[in-house]
Amino acid sequence: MKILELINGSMRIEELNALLFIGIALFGGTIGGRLFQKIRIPQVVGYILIGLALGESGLDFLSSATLNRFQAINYFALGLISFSLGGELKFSTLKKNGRQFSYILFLEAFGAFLLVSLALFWPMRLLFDDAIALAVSLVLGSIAAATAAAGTTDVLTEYRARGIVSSTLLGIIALDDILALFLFTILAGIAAPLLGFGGENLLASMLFPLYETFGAVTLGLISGFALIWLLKKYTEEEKIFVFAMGAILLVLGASIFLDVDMLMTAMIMGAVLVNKAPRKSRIVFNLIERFSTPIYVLFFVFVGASLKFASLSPLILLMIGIFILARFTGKTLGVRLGGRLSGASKKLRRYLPYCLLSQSGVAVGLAIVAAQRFPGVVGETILIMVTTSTFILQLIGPTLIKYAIDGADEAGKNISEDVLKEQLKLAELLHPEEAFVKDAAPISEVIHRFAGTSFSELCVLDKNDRLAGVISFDNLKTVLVSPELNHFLLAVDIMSPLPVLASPDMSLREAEKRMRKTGVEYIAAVDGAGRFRGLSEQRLIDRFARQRYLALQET
Amino acid sequence: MHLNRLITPDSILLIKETGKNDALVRLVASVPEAASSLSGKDILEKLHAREELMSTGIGLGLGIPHIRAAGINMPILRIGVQPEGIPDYESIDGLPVKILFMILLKEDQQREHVALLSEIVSLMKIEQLRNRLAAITSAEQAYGLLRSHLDGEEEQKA
Repeated sequence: MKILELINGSMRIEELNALLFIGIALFGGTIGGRLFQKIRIPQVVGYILIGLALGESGLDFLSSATLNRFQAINYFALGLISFSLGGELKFSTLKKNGRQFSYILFLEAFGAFLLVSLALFWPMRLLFDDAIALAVSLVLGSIAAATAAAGTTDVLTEYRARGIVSSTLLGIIALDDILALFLFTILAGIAAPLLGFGGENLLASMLFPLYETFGAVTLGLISGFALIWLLKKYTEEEKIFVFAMGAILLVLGASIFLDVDMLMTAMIMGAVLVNKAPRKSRIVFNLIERFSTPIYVLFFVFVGASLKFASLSPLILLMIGIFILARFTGKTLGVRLGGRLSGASKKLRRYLPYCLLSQSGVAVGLAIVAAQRFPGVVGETILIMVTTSTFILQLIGPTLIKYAIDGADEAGKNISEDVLKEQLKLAELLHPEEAFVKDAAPISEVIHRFAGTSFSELCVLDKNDRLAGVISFDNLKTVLVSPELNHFLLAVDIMSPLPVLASPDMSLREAEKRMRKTGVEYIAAVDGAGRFRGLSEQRLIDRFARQRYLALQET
Repeated sequence: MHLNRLITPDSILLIKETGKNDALVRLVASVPEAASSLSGKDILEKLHAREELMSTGIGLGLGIPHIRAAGINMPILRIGVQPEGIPDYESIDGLPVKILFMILLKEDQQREHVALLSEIVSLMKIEQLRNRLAAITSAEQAYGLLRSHLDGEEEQKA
């Protein structure tokens, strides 16, 4: 009985069949993510912690041997991340963002890279000899350029941020990951011979990074154009999805086989797709995004499981502190310098740096790649440093972004008309002095009132101002054909009962809902005593929300 | 022709009451119970509320008390003839009202309401008919008079 062996410990969880194993990791990770999200900690952290609990530093369910068996899932996740990153590299957006944006982007990414590399080099020498210390510092520096996109956009969405800081931030977070990837590819290539992972031949080991990078770019370009050619023939989502997924797997596998940088290849393929077939690419990236969540969950659980807490020595902790501080300083200086050179507003220079602290998938992904390329203590150091700092940055990043968008006065500015309709009260657009007639008003007065109002209906009020009914054009038409009645009919005689009522403190959205339910285009508001508070129409609600929306856009 | 359908032998009353309220009470009392879930008192109240806004004595000896209300289940017409006239009807020309057309309609019958009023006014504009109706001595006679007139109208149209 396998189950008994599992319970009494003679069988390890990792000996289970692969499906059961993946199922447990995925399920546990998802539940962990949800739990942490409830206490306002990013889901990614939750996944990593669940992995940590399952891994060698925790309950030891997942040994490194097992993790190696599922290496393919890590590659797949990294490939998907890189491919999606490529999808952010739209040349049209780059051009649109202009000089200011490019200055800030390059300088904040290089600022972080330079400062982290420099600041880490000396403490690294306590652990490694000079060459290795340099290599590790450079690799960590390149990883420092990356900024978490997902966690950051979540915060912006949550606080409905809109403005120069938010929009610059959204552009930068996607693109500095791409810069990080470029830097990492080149520097990991340079680091390899320094770390003794190159070949015997010095020239070959010098040329290898070039081959790795340019090979990846070439493969990415070819596969990108091939994918577009293939996708042109299909419009059904299922087929597009299968081809896109197949292409990503194929390209990742081919990169490993050809020894070119897999992340770069996937990224270039994504970039080709988004630039050369923008419309089709939107379908592809949407489909991939929906599909990728479980892969990411597994990836982060495995990352957590591969962490060795034992290697978190005081020196490493100190270096994590240096990494975080140097990265923040580098990004801040980069933003300030880039902003100053390009004439960016003071607000942007001041608040943007606080938004660039978070790190997540890309940073951890690059660390994983580094750990695999440089097995042993070097890889382990990079991995534990990046995952721990990511963990810390994920916790403090959102708070700092909140601080920045509050300071820049950008919170609550990004509101759609629909959301506005939920927030605005009917009372704000009601005019109780308009759109009514008294019940005793003769028809001539009703006609007169109609002529003097923009409303298509008039409410009929009794002597106590209570709402009695409504007269629409349709009601009026019936008397217009019987003019002999005009001198003795009153408003009360031709009114209809009101199909739907509202209260003044009702939201525009709720008022709309009520109108839609009854199939009319107007709604009258009454107070608790049934007294008339004003009339509104669908078109007026739309116009009011539109005006408010535009007013918000201008600020 | 709404009016044509609503005029039945039961719908016409020769009334003796000479006060406006009494006359209305008499007409409301003749409304069959099934026609309305409102009590006679409620109906009367609503009729008076409408009269308060403006008297329905539209002149030429004609009074058309009319309401639409929730609780009325079917269109009801009651024609009351008081040959001596009701002096306190407050009609616009100050003359006593001799012919009453009481109309009770469902709340949403706005179109029918106006159409019916229009038909009654057109019918009563015929001076000869109006005078003969005001001078009848029994309800049956009044019904015969209106019936033959409306049927004649129908035939003319056909």
